[in-house]
Amino acid sequence: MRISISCGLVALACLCVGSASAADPVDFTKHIRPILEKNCVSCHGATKQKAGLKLDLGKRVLKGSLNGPVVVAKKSGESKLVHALNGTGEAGQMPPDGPLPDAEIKLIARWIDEGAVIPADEVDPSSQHWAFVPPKKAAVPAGVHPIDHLMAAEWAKRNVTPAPEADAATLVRRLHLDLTGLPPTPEQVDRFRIDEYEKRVDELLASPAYGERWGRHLLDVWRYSDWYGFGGELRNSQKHIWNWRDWVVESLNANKPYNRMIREMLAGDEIAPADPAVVRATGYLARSYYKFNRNVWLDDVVEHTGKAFLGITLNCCRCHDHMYDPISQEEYFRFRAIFEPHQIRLDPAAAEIDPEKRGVCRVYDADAKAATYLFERGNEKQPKKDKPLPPGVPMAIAPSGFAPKEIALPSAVAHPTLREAVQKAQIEYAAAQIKQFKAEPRNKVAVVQLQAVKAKLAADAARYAKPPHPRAAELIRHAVALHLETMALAAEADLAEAEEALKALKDGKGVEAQKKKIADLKPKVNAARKACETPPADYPPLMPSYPEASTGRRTALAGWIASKDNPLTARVFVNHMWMRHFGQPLVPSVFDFGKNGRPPSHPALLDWLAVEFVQSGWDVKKLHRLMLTSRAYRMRSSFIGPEANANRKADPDNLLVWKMNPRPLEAEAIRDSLLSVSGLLDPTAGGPELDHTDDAAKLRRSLYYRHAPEKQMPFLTAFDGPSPTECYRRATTVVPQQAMALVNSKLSARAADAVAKGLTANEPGEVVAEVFRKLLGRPPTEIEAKLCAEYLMNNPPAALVQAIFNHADFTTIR
Amino acid sequence: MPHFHRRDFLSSGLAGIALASLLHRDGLLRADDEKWTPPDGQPHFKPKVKRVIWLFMVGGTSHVEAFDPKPELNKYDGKTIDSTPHKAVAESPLVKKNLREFVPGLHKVQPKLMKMQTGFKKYGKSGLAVSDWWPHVGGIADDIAVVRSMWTTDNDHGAQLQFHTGRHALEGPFPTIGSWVRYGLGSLNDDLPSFVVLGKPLADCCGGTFGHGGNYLGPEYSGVPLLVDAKNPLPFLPGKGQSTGKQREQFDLIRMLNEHVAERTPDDPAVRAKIQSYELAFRMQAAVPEVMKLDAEPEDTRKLYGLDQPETKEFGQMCLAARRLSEKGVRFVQVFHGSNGGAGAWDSHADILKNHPPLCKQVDQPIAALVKDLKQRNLLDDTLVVWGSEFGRTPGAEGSAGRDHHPYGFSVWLAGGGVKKGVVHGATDELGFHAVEDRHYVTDLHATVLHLLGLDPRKLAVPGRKRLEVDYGKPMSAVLL
Repeated sequence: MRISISCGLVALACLCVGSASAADPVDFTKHIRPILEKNCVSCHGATKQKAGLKLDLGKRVLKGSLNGPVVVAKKSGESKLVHALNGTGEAGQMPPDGPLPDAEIKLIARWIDEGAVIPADEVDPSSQHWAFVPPKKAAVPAGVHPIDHLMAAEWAKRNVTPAPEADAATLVRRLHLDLTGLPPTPEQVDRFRIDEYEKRVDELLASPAYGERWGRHLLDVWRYSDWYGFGGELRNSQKHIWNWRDWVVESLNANKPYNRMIREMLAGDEIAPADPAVVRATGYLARSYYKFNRNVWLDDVVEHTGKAFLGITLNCCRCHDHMYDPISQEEYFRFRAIFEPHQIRLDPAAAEIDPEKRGVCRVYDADAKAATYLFERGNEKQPKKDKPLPPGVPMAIAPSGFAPKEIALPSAVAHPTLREAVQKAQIEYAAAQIKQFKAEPRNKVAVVQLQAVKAKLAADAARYAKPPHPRAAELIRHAVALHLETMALAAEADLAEAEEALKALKDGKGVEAQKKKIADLKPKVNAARKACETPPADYPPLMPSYPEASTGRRTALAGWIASKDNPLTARVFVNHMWMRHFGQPLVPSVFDFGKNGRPPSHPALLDWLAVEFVQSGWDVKKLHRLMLTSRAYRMRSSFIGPEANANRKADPDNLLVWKMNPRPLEAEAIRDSLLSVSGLLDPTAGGPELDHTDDAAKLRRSLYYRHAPEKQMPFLTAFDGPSPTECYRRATTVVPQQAMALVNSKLSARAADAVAKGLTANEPGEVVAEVFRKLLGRPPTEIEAKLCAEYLMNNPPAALVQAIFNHADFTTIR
Repeated sequence: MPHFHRRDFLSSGLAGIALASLLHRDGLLRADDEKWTPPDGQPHFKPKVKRVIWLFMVGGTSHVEAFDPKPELNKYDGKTIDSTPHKAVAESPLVKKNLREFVPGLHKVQPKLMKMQTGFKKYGKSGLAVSDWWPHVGGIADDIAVVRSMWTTDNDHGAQLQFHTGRHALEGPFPTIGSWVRYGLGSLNDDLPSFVVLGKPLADCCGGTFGHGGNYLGPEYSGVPLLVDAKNPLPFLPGKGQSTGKQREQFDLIRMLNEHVAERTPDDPAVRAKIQSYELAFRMQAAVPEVMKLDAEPEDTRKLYGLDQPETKEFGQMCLAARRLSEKGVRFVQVFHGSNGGAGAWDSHADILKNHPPLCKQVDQPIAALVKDLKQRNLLDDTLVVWGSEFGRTPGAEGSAGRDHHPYGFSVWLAGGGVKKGVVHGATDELGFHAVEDRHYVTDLHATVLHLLGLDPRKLAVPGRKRLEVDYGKPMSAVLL
């Protein structure tokens, strides 16, 4: 092993079986556990328990298997464990691939004969992993900001000095860009007083732009994608998924508690089934739709639900038990079973009868009986059909709190035609047909059609009432009759129109074809009339019906995730928020808090924030406020001088956050800033996604444009825009393509022109000052003023404006 | 002696200069650091090659079905390792020692041996053995040096990052081999990036953009991804009516403004990277579309790379573009094959016979064409081509027909200036399990690359950034002329 930091070697050293001298008693931890760990726990341990036997801890060795104890203290001859090791018991030879060395078996027997003593304070190593232990709040003295107190402890340990506070102009720009993704206007800069810092924080958190900025952050984590496929064929995600995007933005602006957000996204259809404003949140699940393979679809749901909310890589245990974390392959499939019944449907938006045109995609439990089987080695062609798996969650993370209960759904949810809005839309649509077709024979069709629609709605209301209305059968018959009459009238109208058309043709081309058409229509009329005489039992529904109950599995899952007892949920979220405020996360592996992830730089701080967040009622804005009002957040991002250099020696990557990190502005914020400073930004919020090729024509905030694989704005892609398939943390690169985007794009030219047109100054020095004020919120330095004024001698103001778009201070949060 | 452009180096040295001068001023450089100066762009000793093309197969290519034939696998097909005379292989302490494990004992050895899924032939005068899945590479056997004794410590796909940084993914990202080259050597062509990335980069699981990142050297040392697409070589090109002179003036203003920012915030490496990226952008927007005009190549060259066949077209274009970029002076071209948003296309757990042959088909001819083409243009003498993958695949079967990850022993090959031709170096044991002869950790490959470029990695170390002995590696002198 040549890597010098070798955890493997350290672990190995612990594994060496200590030699127990004959005089000393055998020590379980020192002598026995290593043998069991090395040879037995892969089948009898945290992730697998053959025969219900776990041999990873002394107390579990003593507990025994499903068939009773395997160790009888002081009697190794009667202990099943020893028999198994000797190959003389019912279980056959253990381990199955060959017996242990004789000395080891004897050592185990001796331990039993000496009384099978185990230490009283045994700790389970797999549950001791920091992220699986519930967070606790460290004591923080009164009068100190908790973040500063806990960070100061780390600074002191490493002897680093925090940077001084940034100046007011830097802070106000930092706050605006950070919270809204838009630079402050000159007026907002002028108005800012440093003693009103907290007031400005509150103002910005209350602005609608906050939800757009942080909504986009969360859409990264929740992997927002508009629908995509092949040509017009939908293969991934869903049409109208923007409803979920709007829910994210609106939820943040309304400061919906994070635990509530989790519940609504995973189970909005169960917890508030009749409320479309909640149900649209399940777009989170609809996003993972994949047309060609249900397994791929559910794999994505499992993987990303694990990564996004829990920071665990469930995807690693699809084919085998997790390599690093105490999660078994069976638990992977139990987690999948939570989602097994769910499907996606489109609900029509109000005043619309065709959900394809305008609808809301959402999930519902379609089949409570859908079975989940473990796939051998993850191979979908090898399901273990003899053992359907019930839903479940990884027990090692939080053992209790998951108990699904079936949920009855309101009739109007199962049967959309019971909804007033749907009824109104159906009737209005039919009524509009009457107005549209004023002439006979169509008018009559439309009139009867309206009657049929009304009759069907009445019949639906009667049959789906609880209990069904006594006249339901009669109403159904009535609706059937009207439906058939409509069909017959429509067929007759088709024929009449075709005959009219023939007359108009007189002779010549088309006569024969028209005659044939008429001949084909005649039997249809006859058939339709005949059908009226022998009506079927039911009419084709105006809209499909769905099950009247849901399994409650997703509600149970959401409750388990969004629980104060889940050690991961709050930590993972707090870490995401911290990363986006401070430019680097506390836990670098943002989607993996397991053993293969990386430990937190400030464990006590992470835990304090996580507990505080839960105690605050998962209050997201409060969490922002907590971070933003710390002294740590207000530090300078550039820190030079002897103290800073000593810091740099001790911690060159600023892992201890002894200064603020200067951050490149994200792709969307760059584009939005161009629009904002030029006054071109259309602040309209929400609604269907805009065409991504229209980004220089329509001028709304970037999150409202189509964003899917192969359908992204090139401008955003150039600046490390998020991958729509997975983006827990954005890359930050500096490549020449970014320069080209800001210098050569139509968008930048148009924004520069608009800024130039709005300038009020004429004299070069004043023009420069005005441009700096508008774009950077500060006056130019002497050097900047000189350089820019010289440039203006030979170049128009628009070219200067465009140059300032490329100023590092324009594209950086300092 | 490669010449380099002073202009490029004026700015590229800035990062080092700025930080070092900060530290120096305050007496914080250690005595040995005091001697430190940023690289001057010149090699430290006489180089054998000027440039590198680095071909990386994402997901883990089977070594026992490429360049390391193991007849014993056929002999003991279906048998467990411990039932064969090679029992000691699975019991070797290397099984655990080789790996950096966090949960001891969970990495299972795949015990049931699986025969080679393809045959091998001896090629050329050297008689180098190459599998039937790689016939075209077989055709250049007399030009390559195969190293059969590579090993790494991550048996998951974090090994992709490790292959480029030399550090286990758990330790975080570090500068990659391409970025060290970019850092150490001046540009041969100011109009093109010195370090280019072709093909889809690593997925986030396995390194992401860190796989071609400059990390603490600064973002300006990261690879610049380019599209191989003549119709759309760069997303934003100057408008038709744009005056180059006027634009130059604008770029100059931008540069001066940002240099002014860099003076005020010397501790923000992104600013200096930005300054450089603008200089490059201005020149690159004319040069890159030219390089990507693959249609300018004669028909026989296009055919050589397989541009006329659907299977080979895509990777053929990459290899041809790599040659054109190298020819124009790009120092390091890193070409990815098989990145698929996850572990990588070569990751054949389930059925290697279904997985590997089509992938080999996609790359075999283009790779061989690249070496032949460089040779016929007399470029191979001062170019180094490296082929590799993050690890090999297990001699034992995974399931019935797959092979698992195998970090204990796997192959890479090199071709070009200063490299022996038609040789095999190092060996795995008779099952292809452990690298047993002349074992090389991945940084030995980095050391070899730097050595051929005339660079001493110790002289590239940056003050305040401790490098371990293992980071430097040792050049594989046995494959060097």
